Amino acid sequence: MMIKTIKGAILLVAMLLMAWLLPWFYTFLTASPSWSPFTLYSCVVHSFASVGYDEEGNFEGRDRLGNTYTENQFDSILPMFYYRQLASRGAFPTRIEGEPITVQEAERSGFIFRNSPSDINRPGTGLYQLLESVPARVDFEAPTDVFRITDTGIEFVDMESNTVNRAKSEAFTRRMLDRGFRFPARVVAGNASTRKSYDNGYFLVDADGALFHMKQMLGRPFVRRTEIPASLGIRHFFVTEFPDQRLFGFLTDRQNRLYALEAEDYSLHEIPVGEFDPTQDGIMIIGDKFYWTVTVQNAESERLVAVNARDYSKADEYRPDTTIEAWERRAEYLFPFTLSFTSPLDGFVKPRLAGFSWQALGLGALLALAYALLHRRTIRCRIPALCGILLFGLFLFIPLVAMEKR
Amino acid sequence: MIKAIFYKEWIKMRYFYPLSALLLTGFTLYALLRIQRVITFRGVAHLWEVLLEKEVVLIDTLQYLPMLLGILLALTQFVPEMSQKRLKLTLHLPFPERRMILLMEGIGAGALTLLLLLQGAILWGYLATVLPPELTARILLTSLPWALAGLTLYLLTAWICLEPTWRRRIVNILIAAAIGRLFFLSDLPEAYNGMIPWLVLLLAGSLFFPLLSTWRFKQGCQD
Repeated sequence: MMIKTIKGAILLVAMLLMAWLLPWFYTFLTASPSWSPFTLYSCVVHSFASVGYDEEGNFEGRDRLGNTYTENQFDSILPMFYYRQLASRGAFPTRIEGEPITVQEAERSGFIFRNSPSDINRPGTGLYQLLESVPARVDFEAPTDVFRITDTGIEFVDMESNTVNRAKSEAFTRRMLDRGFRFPARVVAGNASTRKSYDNGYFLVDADGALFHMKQMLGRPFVRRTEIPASLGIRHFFVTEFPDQRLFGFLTDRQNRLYALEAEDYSLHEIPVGEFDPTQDGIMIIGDKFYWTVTVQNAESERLVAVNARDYSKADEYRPDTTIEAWERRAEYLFPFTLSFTSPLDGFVKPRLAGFSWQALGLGALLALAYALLHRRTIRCRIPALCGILLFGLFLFIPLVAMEKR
Repeated sequence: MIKAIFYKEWIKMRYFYPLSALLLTGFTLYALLRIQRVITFRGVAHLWEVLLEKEVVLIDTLQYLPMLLGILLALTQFVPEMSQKRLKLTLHLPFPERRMILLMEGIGAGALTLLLLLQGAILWGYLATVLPPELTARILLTSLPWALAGLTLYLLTAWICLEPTWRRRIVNILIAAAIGRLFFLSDLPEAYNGMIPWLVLLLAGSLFFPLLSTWRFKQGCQD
């Protein structure tokens, strides 16, 4: 009985290894890269414009209205992105949509924001670094401590001595409590890089769901409770420090809506891109003074939304067709399911079953038939194995044949 | 009898075990010395920043060492059993055969666990003095799958060694190699936190695999 159980366990392990390695190897051999052209919303032609190449490999820009462009023409329809190129030719416009514009403004208002699910879905340390927002010299200095947020307060740990700085911790905790912060924090977001021109500090969501802004100014705590209602249910916050200093950052709520938080008055503006779940969807925003091109992408779909940067209204939307690759369709006939341990969406190693396919039953039946023919004489005691092969196909057939008793 | 089995296993590993203890301690101290050098040259704050900003644990040199020691220890213990079919004599001793094999594995796995605990204690003893608990735990949790790889590969190597036929031994080697790969799928710190229970289950299961090899040996399977 025990030996039978051990045999079964080894077979199970071998089958699971097959379910992991065969689809991986198949994908490794057959997968072709998927490519989406670089696309931006044009403030000149008011349509999405993509970089493309003709059959001879020459540049050919296209817009959604059906027009094609040479490289120079393409620069001209995206002046806020290719402003350097246009400025070098003396071709940068003086007005766009009736508004006067300079190269300096184009440079200052341009930004690129990117986030992918794997940036979020990874184990964190729970330790953060708070910069001095008003440094004595021009450049920021790396902090000498880190902070953690506990159930009762904020603790600053001095790196040199590896001990808690009681005075600073108490000062910040007291200020946070005075401002109505309830520990612990649900969300802690900031950018501790010293390679930036200014510091927006940290944004914290407290235990009640209220959003707070925290900075360190001349060694003293700055804490401000924002007016954003706790009922919004902020899930993720991305602090930005773009040159035009217009935003504190982007955030998402419990319904996966995306917002921008303006720095001037802490006002919140929904960005009309539809549902965006940062744990599942990647995002790229290429913005300027006039329009933001927001690309939201996941394994199944991609959508591009042009947002008017002046009033956060939707200017245009485009969903490129996504087709299932031939190799993916063939895999559905080969494997009844797939087992993987890693994912491009996160940084965790854990078992994940996916790709369940009834179409693989056909191959399972064929393999079961082959196995039955191989063991004609002992077929009666092999009924469980035959059922297993029917269900699990190649994953069980290969280990069973390899581990035949000889 | 148990004492005699202990003695028999000790005789097989009496040279290898102190050597592996020396190797493991030496490599561990070397990894810690490298960290200490970072502190001496750049300051402890730099060490914290590197650990916070970059996805590293700074003791990667120790990654494959437990696995290597596990495989070598199993070879030391079980290759002599298979040469000239000495296992036949072992199984003829007046002691239940399954208990005998489990005891032999238990002695090796216990000895290896002792070494890995010693390594963990050295790492913790040093890191806790220079790093906050969050970062010490991060480094130790990241190294936990490496230790589990050592123990699992020890048991799988025993399974391979005790297997009487080469055809099945090759299949076992392929399975063991795939299982070994499972422990090193990501370099990201703490990536394996959710995988640890599954790896422990695999380790517990592997403990019984060599029993199938000895059963096949007793059944007379041979090349």
